[in-house]
Amino acid sequence: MPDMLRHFGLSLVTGALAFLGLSDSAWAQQDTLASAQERGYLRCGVNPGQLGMSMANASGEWVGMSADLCRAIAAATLGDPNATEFVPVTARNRFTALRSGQIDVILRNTTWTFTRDTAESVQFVGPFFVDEEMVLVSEESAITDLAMLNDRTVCVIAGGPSEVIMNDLAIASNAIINILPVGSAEQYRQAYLEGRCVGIADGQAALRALQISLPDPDGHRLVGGRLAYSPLSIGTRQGDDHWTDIVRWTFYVLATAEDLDLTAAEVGRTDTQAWTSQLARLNSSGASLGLEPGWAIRAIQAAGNLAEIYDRSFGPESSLPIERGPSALWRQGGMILPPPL
Amino acid sequence: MNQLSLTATGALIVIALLHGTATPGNAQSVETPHSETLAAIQDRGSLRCGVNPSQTGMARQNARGRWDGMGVDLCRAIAAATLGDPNAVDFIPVTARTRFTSLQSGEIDMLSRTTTWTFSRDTTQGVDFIGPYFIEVESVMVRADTGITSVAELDGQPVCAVTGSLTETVLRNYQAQLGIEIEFVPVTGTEDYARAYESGRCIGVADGKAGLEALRAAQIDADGHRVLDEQLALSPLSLAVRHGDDKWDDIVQWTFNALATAERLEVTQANVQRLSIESRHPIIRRMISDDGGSGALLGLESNWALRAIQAVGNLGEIYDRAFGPGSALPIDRGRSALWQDGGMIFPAPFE
Repeated sequence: MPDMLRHFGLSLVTGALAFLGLSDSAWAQQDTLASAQERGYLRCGVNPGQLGMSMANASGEWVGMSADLCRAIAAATLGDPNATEFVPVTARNRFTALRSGQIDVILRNTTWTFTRDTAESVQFVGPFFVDEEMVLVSEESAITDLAMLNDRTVCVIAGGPSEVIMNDLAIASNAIINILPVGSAEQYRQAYLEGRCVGIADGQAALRALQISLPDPDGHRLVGGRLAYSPLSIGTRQGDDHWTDIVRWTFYVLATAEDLDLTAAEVGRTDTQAWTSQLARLNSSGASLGLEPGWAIRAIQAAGNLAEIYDRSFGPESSLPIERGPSALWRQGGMILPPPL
Repeated sequence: MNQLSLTATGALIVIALLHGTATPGNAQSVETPHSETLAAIQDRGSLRCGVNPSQTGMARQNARGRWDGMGVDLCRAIAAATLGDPNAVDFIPVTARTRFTSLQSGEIDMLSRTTTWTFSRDTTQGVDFIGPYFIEVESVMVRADTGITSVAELDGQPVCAVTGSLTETVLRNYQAQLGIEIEFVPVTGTEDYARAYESGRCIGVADGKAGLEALRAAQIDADGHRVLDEQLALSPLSLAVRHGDDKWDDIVQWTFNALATAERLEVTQANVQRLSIESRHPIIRRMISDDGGSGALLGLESNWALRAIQAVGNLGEIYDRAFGPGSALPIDRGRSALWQDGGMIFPAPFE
């Protein structure tokens, strides 16, 4: 009965605010954890189809690094890695989808930038993948470095960091680069194949995924070289710091598990001395996040530690091998530094 | 140049065509919310910054009563960005125990005391962490004449670590990984471990490298002691703000990012004024030029970042003043350098 009342009250309030056109701010006040628990599943905004990040396979199962991170958060918060709904979002509508409450978390390869952090009412967690900005060109274009883009046309996603980076490159190197902004990765693929642009600028993860989907992958190459690094991060709504903490620490649990060599297969066993104290503390600390004991173990069991998640999507055995480089933990020379638990 | 403007115009037309009648994402952005903390600071006319009562290199009053150190300079940068005056700061010494209470009660606006960002603090103390600005490396120091060169050789040996400290936890985890058993000698603080080490009650001391280097420098035979190469763990020392004012969080975060980005782009205290007018570098323009537009997004004046850099220099200059070769406590920057230089500091891009 109290549940029903609460539910009814909530719908009434939400309805009234929506009527007044205030739904955005109403959602921003809301307790994301409580609504995900009430609903029974987590809504993750993901890329509609990018190999390695998020893509539905032949049997309709979402695979990729974003999909696995979503499962880890669902396991930590709801106790079930499969209590997820993958909501495809575009580069353009993702922040609106987050603000309006259509999704609980953005797990679409999203670069943490100044404009987004300050103007889009989003909080960033991570990064989980540090992407390197590059340009895909065809072998027959004979372009081998960025300087050769002078007076050529390059496709980018409109309003994204690559558009800014290419503009910056042109100004900094006194070159003229004709920038053709398009609405999506599907559109830049199309424009590139039709010869409307000689190259595509984006992060290497997206470009390598595109490259192997082309009819002749070997007929194309990536050029770049320390152009820019994009910290791909998880986005949560501003105004719900508690939820941001949950997402942040679920992510860092996965990174710490990697640091301790603790895999999905081993985490259930209790005979490994190395991590007993850390695990014990983690499990008892569920309360401070409003989670059930065992949340951290469940997160690791869902999809493995951060290295396992990375390797499944981008490891040597995967269909899209990308050297981990800056996306590795600090001990291996990367940028990911989990704060102490 | 003309050709370039033409290209830009062309790009805009293409955007308009592609978007058709659809509203571009940016137009739907929520309006910049108001920061209560910023309003309070502006009303009061000063920033209240919680700092270490006395730690060389981080925060300490010199003989003339002026506060020096990395933690102090970061406060001055925020004051310059928000109030236009780097001296509009009240430095409020806080202890390890009182710092979070001071932040929660509103006694201080931000915390700039050597504070490691940890799980329990992030989730139970009602704070948000920003940075890190300094990566403390947890290490062990021994007497050189012991011949010990690695932590594994400390199996069965007495080592001092402050009871209940992060260092102690880190060393316990590390010994478990190595499969050794260290004899932990309980000590209560830095003075206590210095005494225990000097009297031979422990043959090694575990702490952050900055603390160990300070201890080593204080020994009569500084060269007779060695900080082991092994990095047990990294402690990311971070700034902290209260939960619940994300706009203030953004201001502190991006002022810090501006200092780090300035270092990467070689914008210094000496050249920032000139570069704000002359530089054609797009990121520099976006950050420090009057027409850059970054201030409005934070609810600050357009020259907020220029003033911060003018006040204390870029992150490298701040570090060097406190820990550089010419300072009172030289510490190799190592992991506290920018990522491009082999460190762990990586500001999100100004895009």
